[in-house]
Amino acid sequence: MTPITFPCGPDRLVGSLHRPPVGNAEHVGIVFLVGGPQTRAGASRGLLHLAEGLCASGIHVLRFDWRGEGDSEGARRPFDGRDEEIHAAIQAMRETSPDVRSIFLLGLCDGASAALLHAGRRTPLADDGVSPSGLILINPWMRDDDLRPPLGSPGRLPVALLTPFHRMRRSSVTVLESRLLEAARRARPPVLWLTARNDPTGRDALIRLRASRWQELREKPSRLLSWAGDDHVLALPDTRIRIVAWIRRWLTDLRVIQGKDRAG
Amino acid sequence: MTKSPLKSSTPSQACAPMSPPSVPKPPLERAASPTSLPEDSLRGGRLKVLTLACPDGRGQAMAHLRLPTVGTATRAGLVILPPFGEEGNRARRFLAHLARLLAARGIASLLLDLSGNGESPQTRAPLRIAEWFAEIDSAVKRLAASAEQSVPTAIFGMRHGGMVAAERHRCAPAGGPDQGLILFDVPPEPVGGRLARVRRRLFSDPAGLPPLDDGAHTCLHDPELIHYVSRIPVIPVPSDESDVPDPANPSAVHRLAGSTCAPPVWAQREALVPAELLLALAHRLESILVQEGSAQ
Repeated sequence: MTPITFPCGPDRLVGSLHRPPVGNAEHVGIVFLVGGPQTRAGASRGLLHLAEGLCASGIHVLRFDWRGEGDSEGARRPFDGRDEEIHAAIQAMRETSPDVRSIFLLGLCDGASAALLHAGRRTPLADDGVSPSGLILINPWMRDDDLRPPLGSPGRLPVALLTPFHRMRRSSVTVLESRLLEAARRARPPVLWLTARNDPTGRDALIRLRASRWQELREKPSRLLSWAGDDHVLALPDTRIRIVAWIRRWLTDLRVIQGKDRAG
Repeated sequence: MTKSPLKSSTPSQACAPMSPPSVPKPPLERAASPTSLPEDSLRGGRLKVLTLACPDGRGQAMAHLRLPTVGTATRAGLVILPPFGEEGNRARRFLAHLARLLAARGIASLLLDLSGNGESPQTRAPLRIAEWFAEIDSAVKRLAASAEQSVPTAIFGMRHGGMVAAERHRCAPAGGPDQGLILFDVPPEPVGGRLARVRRRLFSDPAGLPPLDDGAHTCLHDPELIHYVSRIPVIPVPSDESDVPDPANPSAVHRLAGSTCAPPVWAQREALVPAELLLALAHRLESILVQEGSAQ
């Protein structure tokens, strides 16, 4: 892992670059967009360990602190106003990892929402060096508020136990979801959607993504996968091993990496 | 672009790690205006991100060295040991803002992620606490090498970082380390199961280090300890006034004026860094390190 700093307007952002060993490196890089007010290591250091797992499988990773978070300078901004930072991070990866040909964005929670909104503003996605080649969105934040259903209410029930009425109520389109939908339709990026079925955010996203309005945006080359569990921040090793394997398989299907088996 | 209706509602609560689903989360705290922070704390100083070799070849510890801007003489140095675990995650921007404020006042700082924490890559804490001590020694040397001349230096330990710093002083040979010790919001005992297990493993080290059965909090108010670390005095900054018993030697203990903040004020997820506390702490540290440190 190599620490780096890079400019973003008047501020310097701090990041950590994971470079795979020479001879084992793919020509793919992933820029991590951490969710919430977290450092680049992620809550419980989940993103740091996920980056190590991806790096061990040959993928370059850049994690960085948002402006005003962690070690980075400047005043923090809302998650839907972070284009400049994402752009700067992609450029930093281009400069520090010249072997990387395709750069993907991996976002967690509102980092996932930030990634999709960013892609929507760079339309059409072009091979211009600063547009992401695709998105990996983990437990994307699609709600307008932070309200959680009270204990014992249908909102707390597993998806399989919901009645059609409750499903309809819970999947009503929010303002943010409509913005995300618009961004996705505009950019049409390949997206790997990953959700934890027992995590409130992941479950909420899963219900929305299964609605017909998202159908064309979750079909090939995009893919929607979910796992049983509530590991929102990827704190558990098993979750990370599964996600590394899914990411590699998806990137293989996209033909941006070779399909051989690697340790992860 | 239309004005986002989301600016005052962020999903930070959803990112709370490992919280049991049955525990209701607190109401979302609204973000304060970022302009409440002084410009000096937003950017400034010269940042170098370093890797320090861990003893016994166990890998590297990550350190963020922040020096005063070019042309500003370094007047003092501070090694910052952040909290562990999620507390460290939440406290990071508070400490980064503090480091920038100190740099503007001519104080160099080195924020050290002890191995197994923060950005340091190891998954686990070391098997012996002496390895953490060695990492701190390495950080002190690196900080001293960055200054043009010898300057007063202290260890600033926050929460569990403070426990390790206090233990390092306690276990040091006669005379103690050369650095002063400043402790911020050190808990009376470790918080969280994993950290408690780590502490039990480390603080009852079979290699001969004395167990810390009485806890760092008690240790802080040991008159002898305060005496020998009081080259630059201990500052137990309380998370709650009732947390701090009367110290045996009040003259050696400095209290941060107006520090009656709520316990997690430095760690609030959505509310921005508390500017008032930040400025008061920076001012107090400057006063201790530069004025009192140079007078001794």
